[in-house]
Amino acid sequence: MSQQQRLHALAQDMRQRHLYELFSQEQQRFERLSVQHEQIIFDFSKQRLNDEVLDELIGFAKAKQLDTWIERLFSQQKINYTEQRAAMHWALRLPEYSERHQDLSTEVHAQLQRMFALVEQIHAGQYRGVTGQVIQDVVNIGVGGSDLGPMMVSHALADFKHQTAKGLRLHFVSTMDGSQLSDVLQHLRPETTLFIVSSKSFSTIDTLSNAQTARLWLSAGLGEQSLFLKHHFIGISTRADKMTAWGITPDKQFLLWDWVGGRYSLWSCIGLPIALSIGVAQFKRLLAGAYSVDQHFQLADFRQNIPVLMALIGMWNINFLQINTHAVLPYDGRLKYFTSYLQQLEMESNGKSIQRNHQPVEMHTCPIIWGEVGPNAQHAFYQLLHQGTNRVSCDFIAPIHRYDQQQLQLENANSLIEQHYLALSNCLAQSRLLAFGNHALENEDLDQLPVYQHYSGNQPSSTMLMKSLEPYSLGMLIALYEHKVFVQSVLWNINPFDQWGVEKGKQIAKSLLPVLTHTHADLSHLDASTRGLIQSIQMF
Amino acid sequence: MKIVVFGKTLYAGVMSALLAESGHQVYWCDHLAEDLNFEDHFEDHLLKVMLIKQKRIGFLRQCDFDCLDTDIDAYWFCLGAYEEQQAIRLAQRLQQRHIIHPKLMINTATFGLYGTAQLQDILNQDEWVYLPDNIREGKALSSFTDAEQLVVGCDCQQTLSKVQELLRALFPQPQQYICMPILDAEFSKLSVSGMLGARISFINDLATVAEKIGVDIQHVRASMAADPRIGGNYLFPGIGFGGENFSHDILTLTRAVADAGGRSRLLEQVWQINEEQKELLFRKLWAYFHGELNGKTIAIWGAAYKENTASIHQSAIHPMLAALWAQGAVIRLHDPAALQSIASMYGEREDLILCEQQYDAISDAHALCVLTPWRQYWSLDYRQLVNRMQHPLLLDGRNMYHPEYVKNQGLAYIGVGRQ
Repeated sequence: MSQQQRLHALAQDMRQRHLYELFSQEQQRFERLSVQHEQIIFDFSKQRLNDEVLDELIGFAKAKQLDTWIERLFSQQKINYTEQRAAMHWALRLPEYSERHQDLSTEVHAQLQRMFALVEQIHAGQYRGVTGQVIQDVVNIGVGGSDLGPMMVSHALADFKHQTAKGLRLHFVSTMDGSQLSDVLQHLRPETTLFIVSSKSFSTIDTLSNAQTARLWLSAGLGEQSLFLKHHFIGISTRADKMTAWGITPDKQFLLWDWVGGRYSLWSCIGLPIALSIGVAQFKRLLAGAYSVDQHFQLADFRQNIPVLMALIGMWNINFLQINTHAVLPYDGRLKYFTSYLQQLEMESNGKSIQRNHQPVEMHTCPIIWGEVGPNAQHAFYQLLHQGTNRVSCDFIAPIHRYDQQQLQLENANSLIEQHYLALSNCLAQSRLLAFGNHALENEDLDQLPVYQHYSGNQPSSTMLMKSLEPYSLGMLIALYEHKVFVQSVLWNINPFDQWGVEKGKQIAKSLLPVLTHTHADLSHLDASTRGLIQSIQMF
Repeated sequence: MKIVVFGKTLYAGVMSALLAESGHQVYWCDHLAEDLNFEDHFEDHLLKVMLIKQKRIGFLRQCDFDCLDTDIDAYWFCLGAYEEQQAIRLAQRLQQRHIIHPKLMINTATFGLYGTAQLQDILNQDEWVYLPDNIREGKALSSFTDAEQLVVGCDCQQTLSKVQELLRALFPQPQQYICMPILDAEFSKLSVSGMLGARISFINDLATVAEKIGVDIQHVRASMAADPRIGGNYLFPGIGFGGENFSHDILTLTRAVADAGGRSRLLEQVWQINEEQKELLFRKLWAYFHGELNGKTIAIWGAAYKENTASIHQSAIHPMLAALWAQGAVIRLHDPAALQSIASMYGEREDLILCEQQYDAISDAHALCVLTPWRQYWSLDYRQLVNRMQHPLLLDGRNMYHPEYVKNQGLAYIGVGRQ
C-alpha cells in the first residue's frame, strides 16, 4: 500500500469516529497534541487525527523531501522557478550580524537603516513638506502585498502606536476606482501630507493611478510639481529607474529585491507604514519574532514543528477528510485584517493546479480561506459552522493577556479587561461546541430538545494562543503561516511564489479600456456577453 | 510689619524692594539655602540698585529659615510656577514652628486652580490670600507700581484689611483693591494670560492669511489698534509668545478647561498656532532655499523670548535650532544677554557658534533671522550685512524693519504677514 493509500484508509476509519470519542479514549490528548514555541501555544488536539495519522503524515512529508526543500528555501536557490527568482523573505529578518548570510544581511540592513532614519525624522516632527510645514498625515498607496501586510500589522499593533512630538496619522489607500483615496483626501491638507507609493514592480496600474491622482491633488494645492515632488513622495520598489522616471528623487527611494514576493514583503521597506506606526524599536521586535520562527522551522523536529504541523493538518483535512474550506477566526478586534491578509498569503501562493514537473496536481490544493473577527462572526456565519451541511476546519487565534499597565490607568480599565475575558471564554466555548456538539451541552436532557436544537459537532479546529498580541508575537504568528504555506506547496509539489493567474486579467483590462470610452469601437472580436455589457455601459 | 518673602522669582525681588522701601521690615528667605546675594538673581538694573540700597539701610535682610523670628506678621510665598513641591515643603516646615496663629499668608505662585487651597490645608489656622503675579520681565518694578488696581483673592474682610495695610504705601485707596474668593482670583489670573495669548495667536493667524492674499498685516494691525475697543497691546504679528510664566498659565488654563469637560478647543488652538509660529522663519528659509538647507550657515539674532531678559524659556530659539539642525544647517547666534543660558542648555557643538559680537554672527551667513526685538537690532549696518553675508537675506521675525528700505539696500526681505 502506498503512503497515500494508507492515509486514505486511516481517513476512512477516522470519518466514522467522533472527536468526542477520541477525547474519551485518550486522556492525555492535549498534552500529546499541542506544541509551545516561546510565547505561542499551538493546540491541535481538536483536529480529527491521532498519533497514527500524525506519523503517517510526517512520513508523507519526508517522502516529499520536505527537509531538503526547507534547506532550499533558506538558501539563495531560485526555487521560484517560473520567474527564475529565489524566495528569501527570511533574509529580511536576519539579525544585523549573521554568520551564515553576512552579505545578504548587510544589504538588507542598509535599506532598513535608511528607512529607520526617515521614520525617526518623521517622528521627531522634522520631516517637512514643500512649504516647510511638518508632515502630519502619511498616505500609503499600494495594493496586494504593499497594502494588506502593512495595514494588517498597523491595525493589529494599534496599542503600540508610537507617540510623536506632533500627531501623526496613517492612511491606507488601495482601490483602483479611487474611492478610498477621495475619501481620505477630503480630510487632508496638501502641505502636511506625505505619500508612500509602494509597488514592487512600480507598474501596478491600481497604485500608479492612485499616485497620479495624489500628484494632481497636490499640484492644485502646492503649485509647481518640480518643487513638491521631492518632499511629498516616497517610493518603495525594486525598480529605481521607474521611480526616477515617475519623479521620485533618489534619496526618497527605498529598494527591495526581486527575491521578495509581494505577499512576503511586509518585513522590508514595504513595512514603512508599520515602522511609522509603532516606531523603530518595535519594528525590530516584529522582525525578531519572525526570525525566531525561522529558526524553529529549520531546527525543530517535524513532530514539534508548528508550521509543519499546521501544513500537515491542513493537508489531512483537505485531501483526506475532504474539508475544502478553512475559516480563520481571531478573537481580538485588532486582528480584523488578519483573515484578508491570509487570504492573499495562502490563496495567491497555493491556489495552483500545475506541479513543478508541469503535470496537473494529483490532489486538491489550497482550500477556500475565509473568516472574520470571531465574536462578530458568531452573529453571522457560525450558524453554518454549527448546523450547516458543509464541513469546515477552523483556526482560532487569541491573545491571553490584553491591556498593559499604561492602559490600566484608564478609568474603564476593569471593564475592558472583563470584556477581554468575555471574548476569550467565547473563543473556548465555540471551539468546544464545534468539536463535541451535543456532548458539550451540560445538564440538559437531550431527548427533551427538539432536533433543530441539536449540534452534531465533529468540526475540527486548531487554537493558537499567544501570551499577548505585541510586535514580537505577531511577527511569530505571521511567519508561522508563511512557512505553513511553503510546506503545503512542497506537499503538493507546486510553486507558491508566482501568481500567473492574476496577470492576464490586467492585460485584457488594458485592451478594453479604450473600447469602453469610444462609442464607435469595433466590438466584433468580443464575446456576446462582454459586447452586450459594453453597449449597455455606453448607452447609459 | 515684619514680612518674610520666600522664593527668588522676579516677583520676590520686586516685592522685597518695594515693601522695604515702604518701611516694612523684610526678611528674604532662600528656601534652597543657596549662599548667594539676593540681588544677583536679577538682571533688572533698577531692581538690583534698590535691593542693594535697602540691604545697606537695613530694611531688607537675608535670612535662613531656621533663624526666622517667630513674631513675623506676614509670610509671602513668591515661588515659581514649577516649585509646587518646594512650596508645600515650606508650608509644612512653618507648620512645625512655634508660631502664634493666625498669621497673614500670601501666595503669589501660579500653581493652577486650587494651588493656594493646597497650602491652606497645611497651614489651616492662618489667614490666606492669593495675589496674582502680574510682574512682566523687562518692566519689573513699574508693572507692579503702575497697576491701577490690584486683584486680591481672599475669603474674609478682616484679611483684606491686613493686605490693605501691608500695601497702603503703594495702593492707598480702598477702591484700588478688587476683592474676590481665592479660586475666582486664580481663575482670573489664568484667564488674563489666556486672553493675551489669544490676541497674539489671533493676529498671527491673520498674518498667515494676509500673506497669502497679498495684504500687509501691519496695516491690519494699525487699523485694529486704532479701534478703542481693541487697542494695540499684545497685537503684534511675529514669531509668537514665550516666557515661563505666561506659557505655563496658558497650559494650566487649557487643562482646567478640559478637566471641567469644556468642549471648546480655543485655547488648544491658541497654543498650537503659537507653537507653529515659533518656527515660522524656518519655514520661510526652507521655502526660500527649496528645502536645501544642508550645510548652510544661518545667523540668528536673539535667543531670549523677549527683549531685556536673559530668559530663554519657551523661546522661539528652541524650535528654530531643532529644525535647522535636523536639516544640517550651522547656526551663528548672537544675543546680548542669553548666550550663557544657551551654552549651558546645548553645550558645545559644531553646528552652533555663539557670537559675542552682533555682526560676527552674520559672517558668511546665507541668511539672518531676527528673533528678539532687542533695541540694538532695530537699526542695521546694511553695508556690513551686504558685504559680510554669503547671501543677503533678512528674515524679520518681529516686523521691526521697513521692507522697502531694506530691499533698497540690496537685501532680500521676508517678514511676518507681509510681502
